[in-house]
Amino acid sequence: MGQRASAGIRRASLARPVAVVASEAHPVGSDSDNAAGAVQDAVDGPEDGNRAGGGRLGRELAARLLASVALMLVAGCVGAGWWHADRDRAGVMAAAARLPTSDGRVVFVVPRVPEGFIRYVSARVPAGDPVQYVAPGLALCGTARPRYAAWRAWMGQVFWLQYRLAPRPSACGAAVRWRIYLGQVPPGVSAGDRWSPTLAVVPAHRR
Amino acid sequence: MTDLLRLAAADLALVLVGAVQVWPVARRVGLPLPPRVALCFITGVGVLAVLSTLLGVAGGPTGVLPVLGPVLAAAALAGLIVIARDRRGPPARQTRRPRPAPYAWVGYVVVAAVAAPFVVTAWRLPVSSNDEYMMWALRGRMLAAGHLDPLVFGGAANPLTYQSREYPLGLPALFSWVQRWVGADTAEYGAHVQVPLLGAAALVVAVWTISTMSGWLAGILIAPALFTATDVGRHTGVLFFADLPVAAAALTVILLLLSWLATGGRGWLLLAFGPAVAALYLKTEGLLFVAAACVAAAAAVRVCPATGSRRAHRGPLLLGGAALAAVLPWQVWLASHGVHSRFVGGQRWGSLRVGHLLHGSGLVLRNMATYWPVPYSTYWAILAALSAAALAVLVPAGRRAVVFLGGTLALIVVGLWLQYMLTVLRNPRNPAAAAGYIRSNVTRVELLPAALVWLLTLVAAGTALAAAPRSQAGSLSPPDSVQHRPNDPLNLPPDRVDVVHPAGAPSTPTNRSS
Repeated sequence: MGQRASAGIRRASLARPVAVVASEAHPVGSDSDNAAGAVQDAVDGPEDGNRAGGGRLGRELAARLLASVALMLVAGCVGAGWWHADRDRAGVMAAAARLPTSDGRVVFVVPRVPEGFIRYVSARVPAGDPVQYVAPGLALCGTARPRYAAWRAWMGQVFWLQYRLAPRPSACGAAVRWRIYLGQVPPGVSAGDRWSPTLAVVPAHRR
Repeated sequence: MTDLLRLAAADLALVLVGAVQVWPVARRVGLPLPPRVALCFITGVGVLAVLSTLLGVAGGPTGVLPVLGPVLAAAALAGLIVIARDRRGPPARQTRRPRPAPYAWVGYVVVAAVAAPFVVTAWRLPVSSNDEYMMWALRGRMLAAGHLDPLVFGGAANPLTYQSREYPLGLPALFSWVQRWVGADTAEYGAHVQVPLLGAAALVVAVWTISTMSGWLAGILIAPALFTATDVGRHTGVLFFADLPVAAAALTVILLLLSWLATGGRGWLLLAFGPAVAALYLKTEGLLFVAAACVAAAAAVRVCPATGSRRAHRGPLLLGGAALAAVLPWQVWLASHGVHSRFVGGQRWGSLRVGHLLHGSGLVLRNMATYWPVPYSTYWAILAALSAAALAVLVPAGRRAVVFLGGTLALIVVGLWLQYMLTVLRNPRNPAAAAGYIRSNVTRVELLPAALVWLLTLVAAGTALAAAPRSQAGSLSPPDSVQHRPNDPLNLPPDRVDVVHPAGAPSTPTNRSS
């Protein structure tokens, strides 16, 4: 029984731990060939290292049983989590396959900001010129609280334009070289600056 | 194909930059090649973030050229020289080294197998989430353009429109770096790849650490830990979000502190500095994660009467302090531009009642538990953590590690609870108003604590099962597992090794070599 237990424990040994713990380092009076005893010491700690009794065996077995169950629990949870995450990832890939492509690459498009307008602005506005974005009810500069409806309606488009038009910096006030109108183009804007009834890009000195 | 090669070159450069700090120390403490390279990568990301931020707040050019690129190129060259010298030099003496983990390669293979599909997906996905084009990728583009755009980063912007301006520059700097290497058109795809790569790097370190401490099975089971959360497949693991990178950097800090607790070698603390800085620069939550780990490590040394040194707890606290100091330039710049944390200010303390506190607290806790990022009932995660606590009671050998990991987990959870409470207290009479924000945020931010539960359980269970007989497990004895080299400044003398002595016995060296 003892030999079998010893062999079993040897097989069950999962590690060669690095932790330096004197409860293991100072096996006072322990028999180095007695595997169960050694495990016993590690389980009980140095205070109980030389104490004998049936409770020790139970404690040892309880620890091993609990550790095995815990490992199986983690294995199950981690496996299920990975399966779920990988399925989500595959779904994202499938969704991306339905997006338009350009030069073999998937391209995300915000429908309310036509790609044609982005190309138009990119061609007109030099890379280093500061741009101001103007949309009804939206205050990008200063501390005025934007209307929630306006924020919700326009900020996504403004962020998308900022991202796609980078490296053109965003600006307010005197530094502005170009204004991009979203949603509502002022009446005085010339036809040459209008891309559509709701989108325009205008040199700042003109308006 | 050319794009992929350029991207690989960009990442290799970061590895070489990180090698300047990591390689010599890692060699001394006995960190093998795979986790060493992974650590170099994470540290390199931290260095990139610090330099970009310093240039930005000083009003210098934030793009890769003309300053940042040459500086990093010089650092990468230095890293190459360090590695080459290391290869040519005599092998380091075996000193205070962890035991080898012969089956750790299985864990590395699992990490690669789990992360590879995420990397491939990330490479094919364009920027598509508003968190990307309103914040992380947008900021990356602006940094690449050459300066801290005041409307996107600074005080010129309407704070109600441009939110989260206090977020640090680590991830945007990585985007800018990748853009310079692969070009503006491919940058967003290349930037996406960095996210699962950082996760995989941390998991390689995790596999090795847990394999050496708690056995090969535990080392394999930890391998997918960061890729098992609810939101990872949809957003945080394949798009340009900071949640997985900050969790990866913080997890690396925790693992290195774990190695420090196990061996007492100060080299582990030095190695943890780079990932700690990276975590702080990747997302604001990095501050909580790193602080929690450092405080818990210090507490574990103090609480568990297992060390010969009364001052050992200062090590992790110094590490935390140094990492905080590294992020100060960004904080000072934010303050000078009137940009404050979203959690500070606006609370209605005057109208606060105990009932509001209790109700808000309950709501926050319910949401934190309900949206804990696992695709099954949170009950299982709680059960795992409880089993780790029970094992710590039964098996003293793993007690200190469990105290450290459990303490870190508890501090992080309390910190997140406090963070959400500050949001709730802006409108204490209607705490449900904050529930939407909590729900959208918590599944991403709790990625690290979710992984920590598995780490905690695996360490406790692996250690319990690994309590092998001394005849075969000489690994447990200090002379075999940790050897002292008196003149090695990175290694503490043996009387500072974490040694458990019988109650009341003085702490005496067991293997002093002099």
